[in-house]
Amino acid sequence: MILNHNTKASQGASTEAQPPIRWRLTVTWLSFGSLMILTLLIAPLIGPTSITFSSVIDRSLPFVENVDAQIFFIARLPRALTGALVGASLAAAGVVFQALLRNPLATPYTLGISAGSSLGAMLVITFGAPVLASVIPALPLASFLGSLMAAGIVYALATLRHRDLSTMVLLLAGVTINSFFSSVIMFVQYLNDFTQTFQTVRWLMGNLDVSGYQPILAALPFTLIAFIGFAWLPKSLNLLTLGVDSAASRGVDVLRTQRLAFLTASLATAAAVSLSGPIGFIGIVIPHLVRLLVGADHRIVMPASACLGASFLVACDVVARTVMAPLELPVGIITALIGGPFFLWLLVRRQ
Amino acid sequence: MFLGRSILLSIVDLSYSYGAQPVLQDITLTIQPTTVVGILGPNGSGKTTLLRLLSGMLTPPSGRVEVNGVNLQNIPRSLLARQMAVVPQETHVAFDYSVLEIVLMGRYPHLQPFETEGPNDLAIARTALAQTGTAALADRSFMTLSGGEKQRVIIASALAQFGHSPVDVPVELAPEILLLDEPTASLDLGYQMEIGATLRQLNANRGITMIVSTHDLNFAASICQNVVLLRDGRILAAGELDAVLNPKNISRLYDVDASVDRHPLSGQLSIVPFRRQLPSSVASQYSSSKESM
Repeated sequence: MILNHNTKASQGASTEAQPPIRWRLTVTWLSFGSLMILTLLIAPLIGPTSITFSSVIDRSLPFVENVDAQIFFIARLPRALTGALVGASLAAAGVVFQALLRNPLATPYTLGISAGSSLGAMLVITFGAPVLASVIPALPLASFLGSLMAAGIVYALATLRHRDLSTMVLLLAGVTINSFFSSVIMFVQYLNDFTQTFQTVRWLMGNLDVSGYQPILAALPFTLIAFIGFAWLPKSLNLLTLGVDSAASRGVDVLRTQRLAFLTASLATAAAVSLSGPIGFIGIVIPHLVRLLVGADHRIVMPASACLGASFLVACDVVARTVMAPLELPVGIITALIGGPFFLWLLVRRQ
Repeated sequence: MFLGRSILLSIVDLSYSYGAQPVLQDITLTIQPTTVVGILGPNGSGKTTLLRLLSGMLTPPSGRVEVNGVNLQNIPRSLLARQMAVVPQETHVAFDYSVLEIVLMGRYPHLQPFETEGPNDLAIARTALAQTGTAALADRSFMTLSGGEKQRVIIASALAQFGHSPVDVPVELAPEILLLDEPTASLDLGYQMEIGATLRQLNANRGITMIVSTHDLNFAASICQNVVLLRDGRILAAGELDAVLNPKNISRLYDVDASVDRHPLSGQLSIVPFRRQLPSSVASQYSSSKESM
């Protein structure tokens, strides 16, 4: 009897240490999801003019007379939503690229997307801004097209001589495209005048200085397509990280999974960078942080990273807006400045 | 026994080449259920290619592989994964999965796109862990295991791929085929013995059919009932272990002189290689360099 009791107790303990996936998924969505929603609600309350949530949702005043509601919905919420969209996209794309390349050091920018987008943005700043800016949002569009061009070249190179997507060729092509485009960028920058150089450097720092909902709405369709892809991927990504052959022998259509992973992650990154410029750090550190918290299963890492990436970037942007107010720092500076030491502390603590 | 005459896997006129270089030529072979078949041969003889063709990883330009009479190319991947699993020489995992997570990945072929593992899958995974002696490792991080432990966990993950529940189902109804590519090549002697014992038990208790490529003749002798000798992409000899693994065939296979005896304690064939038959040009080089020393 006593022996029986002991076995049952130890079995109970082991299920506690490794709860069933459904339970873990629920906990993940609830905790990381509510963190993201909370961040999105609180961030727009903070700024040079303090507003309270109760006055924002005060129904006794019509919207046109409710100044707090106008500040919340018109001035600050678009920026917070942009931050959430960019943060979620970069973190999730980081997860996908790391699994695709089976390399925890991969980032959304490893395969040349940031260089492509920077080149696109830069060409507009240098040659086209005055003409085009009045007609279309030329800068984000050029950045988006530049990203897609870089991703397209890398993809073409990786599939040119191989039937399957060789991660080695992907990496080499990506790194080469990155440095090639960087050289072109430096060349164009050399030709720039001071104003243009200033604009370019500012763009490269990455910031969330958007006004209105227009930019988000333009990026949203692409982001949505990418995230639908992300929803399909996690189980295949788990198997892919065991190796291509192991994945194939467990029933994964490897080539289709690799294609879907590459295209969706590139699309999400391209849309994000077109909104904010190449904000660094999120795509590599958020996935790592999440893995330290919830383990390696991509079904959990993916949603947790997206939510945490969104929360993190929105929070960083609050700091960027307020720390030297009325000056607004580019958020790209803040992400690594805050996140870097924190992540290192976490790493050292784990050892 | 009636099983003796049935055929689980048949390989018919199989050829394969990388570019202009032929790797396998006219391989014809039948494998009966519940047997353990060793594939032996020198480096570059085509062992790995044969296993990759058997697992459907490669598509043969000519010839075919049949599982229970059905051409492998016509079996959907996820369906094939439920009756055939592959154990590679080594598995490097880039991320920090737990052992149980790795074994549960073997259940993925049974799940719908957005379905998660249920209690039945968990039970099958736990059985697979128990059958490979790794139950105590379930909550450990896979990355922190030793090579031998990792290999047994990967075998457990492969077992979890098979369709049947812990309740025994006759092997004819649910064939279970395990393809192992040099499973002990990077393990020390103790772990080699452990893997050998695990595989023998799985064959004896669950009737799992295994095809094992290996360089280790004594390992093959300890687990295989049949062996296939491959050299330069052709079958040199194939048949029951005792009949095929003799000094003459080993000499033809590896250009090595070896003695083959039945070991008095293990009762298994024991192969002791004792001399390399060097081609005359290499032999003279070797002896002259020895003299100069």
